Amino acid sequence: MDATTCDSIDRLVAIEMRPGGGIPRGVIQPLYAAARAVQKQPLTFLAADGLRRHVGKGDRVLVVTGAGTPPWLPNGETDGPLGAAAIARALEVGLGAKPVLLAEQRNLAPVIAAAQAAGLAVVDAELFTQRTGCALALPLPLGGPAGQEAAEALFREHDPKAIVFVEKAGPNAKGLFHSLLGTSRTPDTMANAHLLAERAKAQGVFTVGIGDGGNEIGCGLILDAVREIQPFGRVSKNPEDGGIATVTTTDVLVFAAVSNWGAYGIAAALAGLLGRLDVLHDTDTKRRMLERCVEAGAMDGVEARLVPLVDGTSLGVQLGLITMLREIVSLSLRTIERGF
Amino acid sequence: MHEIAADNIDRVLTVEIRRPGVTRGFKSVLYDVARAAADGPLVLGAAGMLNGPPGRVGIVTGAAVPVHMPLGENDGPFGALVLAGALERIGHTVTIYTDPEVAGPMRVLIHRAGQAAATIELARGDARQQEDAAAASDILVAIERLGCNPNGHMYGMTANSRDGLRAKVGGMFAAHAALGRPSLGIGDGGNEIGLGSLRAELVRWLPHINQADKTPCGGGVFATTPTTRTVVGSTSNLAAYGVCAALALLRDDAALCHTPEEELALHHVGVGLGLADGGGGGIIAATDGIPAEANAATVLLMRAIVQCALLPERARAF
Repeated sequence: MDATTCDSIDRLVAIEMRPGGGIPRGVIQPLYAAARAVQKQPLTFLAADGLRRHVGKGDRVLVVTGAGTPPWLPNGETDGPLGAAAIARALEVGLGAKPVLLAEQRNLAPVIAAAQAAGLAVVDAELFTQRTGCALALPLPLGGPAGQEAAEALFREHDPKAIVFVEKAGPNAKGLFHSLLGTSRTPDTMANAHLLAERAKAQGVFTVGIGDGGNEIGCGLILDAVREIQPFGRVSKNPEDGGIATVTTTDVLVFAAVSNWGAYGIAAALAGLLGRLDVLHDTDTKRRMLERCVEAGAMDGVEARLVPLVDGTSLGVQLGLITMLREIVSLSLRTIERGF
Repeated sequence: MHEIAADNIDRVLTVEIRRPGVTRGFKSVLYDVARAAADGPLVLGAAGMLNGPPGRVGIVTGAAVPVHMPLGENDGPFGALVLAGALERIGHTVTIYTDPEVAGPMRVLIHRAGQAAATIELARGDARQQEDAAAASDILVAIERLGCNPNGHMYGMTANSRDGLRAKVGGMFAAHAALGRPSLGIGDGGNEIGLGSLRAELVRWLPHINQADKTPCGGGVFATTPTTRTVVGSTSNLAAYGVCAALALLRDDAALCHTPEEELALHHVGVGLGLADGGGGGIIAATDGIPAEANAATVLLMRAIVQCALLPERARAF
C-alpha cells in the first residue's frame, strides 16, 4: 500500500456533511489542512504505521473514549464508541493486541455494546489473559485526583504499548473541558483522560488522538488553528473560560469530519499496511455496531436522541464510508496492467 | 450559500480509488489545479451555468477502442445519461452526441430511463456536422470525451494513440465558443475536452502523467481544448453526478441527485449492453476499475451532503 492510498483515506474521512444551525460548518477542511501541514504525511498512515511499529502480539493498548454529558447525552454519544470498537478490533485482529477499552462509567455500556457487535467479547480480567478475540472494559473515574491515580494504576497493571483516544475531551489552557459549542465543563464532571496522554509522553508510549472539533485529546497539535477557526475556539460561551481548544497533544493526530471516521481510516490504513482487508470491519458489522450502540444508550451527538445517527449522519452514510474504505484498501492490494 | 456543501461534493468525487497498474496518484493534483483556476467549488460553478432558463444542451461523450472496448467504456455514457436526466427535469432539451459504436447502448440507456434526449452519431471528419451541433446547442458539455494534444493527436492515458478511432470534436467546441456560448468539460485524466483550460498547469505539475516522451508525436496526452468551466473527478461519471448534486443544491431539490440504487443498476445494465470497464476493458460492473458498489457509495455520500445542506437550520439545544 502506498501514499496515494492513505491520502485517499485521509480525504474520504474528512468529507464534511453537516446541517446548518447545529455544529459549525466549513471547519473540517481547514482544520484537517492544519493537522496535515504539521504532520506532513497522511494522518491515517502515520497512526497506523505507528501502531504497527509499537504494538506486537499480546501487547495491551488502551483505547479511550466517551463523549457527552448529562442531561443531553447521559450515556454518551455514538461518535467515539464505534471508532473505539473499530480500532480495538483492528488492533486485535491485525496485530494480536489486547485492547483495554476505557470510558466514564456512564458512557461504558455503549462502548461495550459496540465492541461486542464488532466481534470482541468483553470479558473479565482473568479471561482476558486466557484467550484472544476479546477486550477488557474499565471505567475511568471523574476528576483530576482520581484520574491521576487511575492513570498510574492503568500503566502499572497493563503496561500499555500504545494509547488511542477517540473523541475524548482534553482540557484547554485553563484546565477546563468544553463541548464543541463552547459550554465549559469542570474536571470533576469528566474523566481526565489527558493524564494518560501525559504519562504516556513521559514514558515514551505511543499515542494517537482522533478528533473532529479541536476540543479532543490530540488536537493540541493544532491549537492555534482551532482557536482561529472554531467559533468558540478562543472564547467560550462564558467568555472567561478560555475557549474550547485543548492543549493536549499526542504523537499523531488524526483529524476527520467525524471522529469515528478517523478511527475507521486508521483501521483501513492498518489493513492496507498489513495486506489484510479483514482488519477493517465490513458493512454488516458496521450496521450491527451502530444499532447495538444505540440500544445500549448512546445518542446521536447532534439530535441527542436514541437514533442510529452519528453527528447527524445516517446509517447509510456509515455503510457507504465503510464500502469506500474497503474498496480503497482492496484495490491497493491488487495490480493490473491495462495494456491498451 | 452552498459553497461548503459543494466544496465537499468536489472532494468526495475526487477521492481516488484506483489500483496500481493504472494511472493513479494524481487525482488530488488534478483537483487542486482545477480548483485554483476556478472561482469557487467546481460543481457549483458548473451547476450555476446550467441552472438557467430552459434551453438546448448538447452532451458529447463516448470512448470506444476496437478489440478492447468495442462499444466504448461506461465512463462517460452513465454520466451523460444522469446529467441529461437532471437537465430535462429542470426544463432543458438535451441532445447527446457520440460515436456510432456507442450510440446503440446510449439509446437503450435513454429509453430505459424514460428520457427524451436524441442521440446523434458523430461522423469522423465532418466539420459541418460539428458546426451544426455547436449552433444547435446553447450550452455544450463534454463528458469523458478525448481532446487533441498540441499536435492534433488524441491519446489515452496509457499514451496509446486514439486517432482514427473516434471523431475529434475540438472543432465543435471551438465553433461553439466562437458563438460566445458557455461550455462545460468534465474529465478525470487531463486528456479530455475541457481540461485544455488547465493544460499549462497540468503539464507543469504532472509531466509523468502527460508522458510526452511516450507519445509518438512528443506532444503528451493532455488535451488543449478549453471550456468555460471544468469539473474533474475520480471518474468522469462521478464528476457529472456531482454537477447534478450541485444543481440539487441550487434548486433546493434533492431529487435531482443521482441515487446509489440507480448507480448499481446502471452498472449491471451497462454490462448487458456491452459497455466496458475502462480500468481493464472487461465487461464488468465497474467503472475505471472501481466496482459498482464503491461508485454507488460515493453517490450516496454526495446525496447525503446535499440532504444535510437542504435541511432547515436548527440550533443544537446544548
